[in-house]
Amino acid sequence: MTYANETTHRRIDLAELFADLDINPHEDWLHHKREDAAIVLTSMLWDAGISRADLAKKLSWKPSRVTRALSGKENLTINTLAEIINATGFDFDLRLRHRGELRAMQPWEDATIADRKLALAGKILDESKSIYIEANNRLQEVQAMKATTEAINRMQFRKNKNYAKAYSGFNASQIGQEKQAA
Amino acid sequence: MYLRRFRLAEFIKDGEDHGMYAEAHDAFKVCSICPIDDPQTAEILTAAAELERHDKASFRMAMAKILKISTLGTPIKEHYDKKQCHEAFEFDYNGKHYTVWRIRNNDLRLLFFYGNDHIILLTDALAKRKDNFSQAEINRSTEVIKRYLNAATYTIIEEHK
Repeated sequence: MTYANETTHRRIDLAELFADLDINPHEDWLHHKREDAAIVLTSMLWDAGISRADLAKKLSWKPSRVTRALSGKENLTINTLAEIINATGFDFDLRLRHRGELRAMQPWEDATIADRKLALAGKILDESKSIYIEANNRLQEVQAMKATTEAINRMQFRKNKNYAKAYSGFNASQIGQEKQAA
Repeated sequence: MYLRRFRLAEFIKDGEDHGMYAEAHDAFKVCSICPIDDPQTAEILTAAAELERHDKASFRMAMAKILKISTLGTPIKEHYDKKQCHEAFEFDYNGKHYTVWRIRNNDLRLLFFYGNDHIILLTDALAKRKDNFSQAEINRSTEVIKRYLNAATYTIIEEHK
């Protein structure tokens, strides 16, 4: 197999690629939950600077047992979780969240939270700037419209003034005579 | 050059709650080269399309895991056993030394390279019963990396924005 080039590219849709896989949604969901738990444990070890070999020694486990426990494939018991977490110097609670909510941050992710807040503040500032620019543009447009309206009003006023001036020499009797003559 | 950035949501079932892996400031971007400005031309998908059904399932699982880990910003190998993730091979190019990494999921081998700007460049996905790589397999990955290294600039594109 060779990869495509600019003239012979092949388009592949991920949904079509996996269409024939016959995935059991429940099994898939459980697989991800096991994997998520394993990723938390491996992140914890990384943060604590403890290798898998160190963990095996601390727990007097065979390295293969540690491998299995951290593989994400095993259905870990609470006992196993507690042993691993305790050996790394942490403790744990069962903290719940609503589906779709952001997961709970881990102790080693505090910096991540600060970064995220900083990024959010930056985003709000950027949005505020663009809102200010937009508002300023609108203000200029309104000011231009106001100036145009005033100019039109002035022109109309002048026109009315001239009209009034043109007819200012007539009096009521003259108007009556004109009407009679007509 | 165009690089398709993959997202976890593309490799899990619709609506599946996966804990919403939030991106760390130093999160990795898992990418594959696209010959044109079209994310569906990502070369890693061309490789995946050649796989048999059970290897495609392994590819899907391997991608989901690397995408979860990539959001944390921690080295990928920290989350795998040494047998599952290690250096596949090395090569020299323009006087510099480069390493290609390998993740194993069942018979599936996912090859990747650490690029600049926290990019993880996927170079190949292949089904193997043995750990050794043939020269042709090594060449295919090194060619992908050389094209990436030779590109003056790149644009990241995505399927779901």
